[in-house]
Amino acid sequence: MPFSEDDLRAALKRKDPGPGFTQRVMARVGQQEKAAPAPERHRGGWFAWLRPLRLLPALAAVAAVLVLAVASWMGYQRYQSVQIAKARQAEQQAILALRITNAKLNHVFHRVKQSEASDPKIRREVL
Amino acid sequence: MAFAEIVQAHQAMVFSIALHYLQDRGLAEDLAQEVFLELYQRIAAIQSPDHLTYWLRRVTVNRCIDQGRRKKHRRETALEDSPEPLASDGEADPLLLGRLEESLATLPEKHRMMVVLRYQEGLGPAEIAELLEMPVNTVKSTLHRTMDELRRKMTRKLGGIRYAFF
Repeated sequence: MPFSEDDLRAALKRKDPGPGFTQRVMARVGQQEKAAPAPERHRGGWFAWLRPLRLLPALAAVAAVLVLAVASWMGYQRYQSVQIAKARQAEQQAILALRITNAKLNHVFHRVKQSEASDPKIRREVL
Repeated sequence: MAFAEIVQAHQAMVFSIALHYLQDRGLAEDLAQEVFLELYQRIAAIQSPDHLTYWLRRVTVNRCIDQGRRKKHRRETALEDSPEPLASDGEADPLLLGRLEESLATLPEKHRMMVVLRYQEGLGPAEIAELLEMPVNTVKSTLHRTMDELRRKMTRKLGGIRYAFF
């Protein structure tokens, strides 16, 4: 019995499930809604991922990042202030050293002046 | 579009894939209802009418294959519970169509699904390959071999009829 592809298409033509199929599906949807919580589309569609259970890990991650950021900022600030204090201390020590050197040089200068005034021989040699 | 309208628009496609694959109206209707219930649960993920058709075909095909695996344990539906089959339009030879349906029912399950998707849904080998997760060349060669097998089965049936008459 030869057959063509059209015969096959005819044999496999779409068939309707018969009257009342849609009503039977909708009745089962109704039963399912009563038995279980509403499907995802009633909970916000695209924003369904914002549901608390999914939100908790995200919130924890954000909080951890914030705590880390604040802690590292505070550490950096503390390091900066320690460095500034050390620099100021070094500056003070340098000024003090310069003052001492200055005093010593003045003292030596005055001694040299006094020696010149008291001994004309030294003065001549210097000139 | 209301959900009931979506069901109305696609019920023939879903039901027919299941019916032609499972060869059982009761099982096909149950399966089609399950597919639409799953769609109701996942309607938010559907992005376009094309995506809806693709999703329905894919879920129906997967459920049919699962159902085929459980065939040994399938429940029998009482005759009075099954909806009455609709009459065909009468243009094609009813004897030939009946023989074709019988021959299709004897094909291996994956081969039958390929023929259903090719000749009921009018899908190309690439689309069938995507739905069945198979290489396109495998689909092409399997379809070719399946058509040869169908022709052989139909010839054998004709032989049987000839012997019965003569």
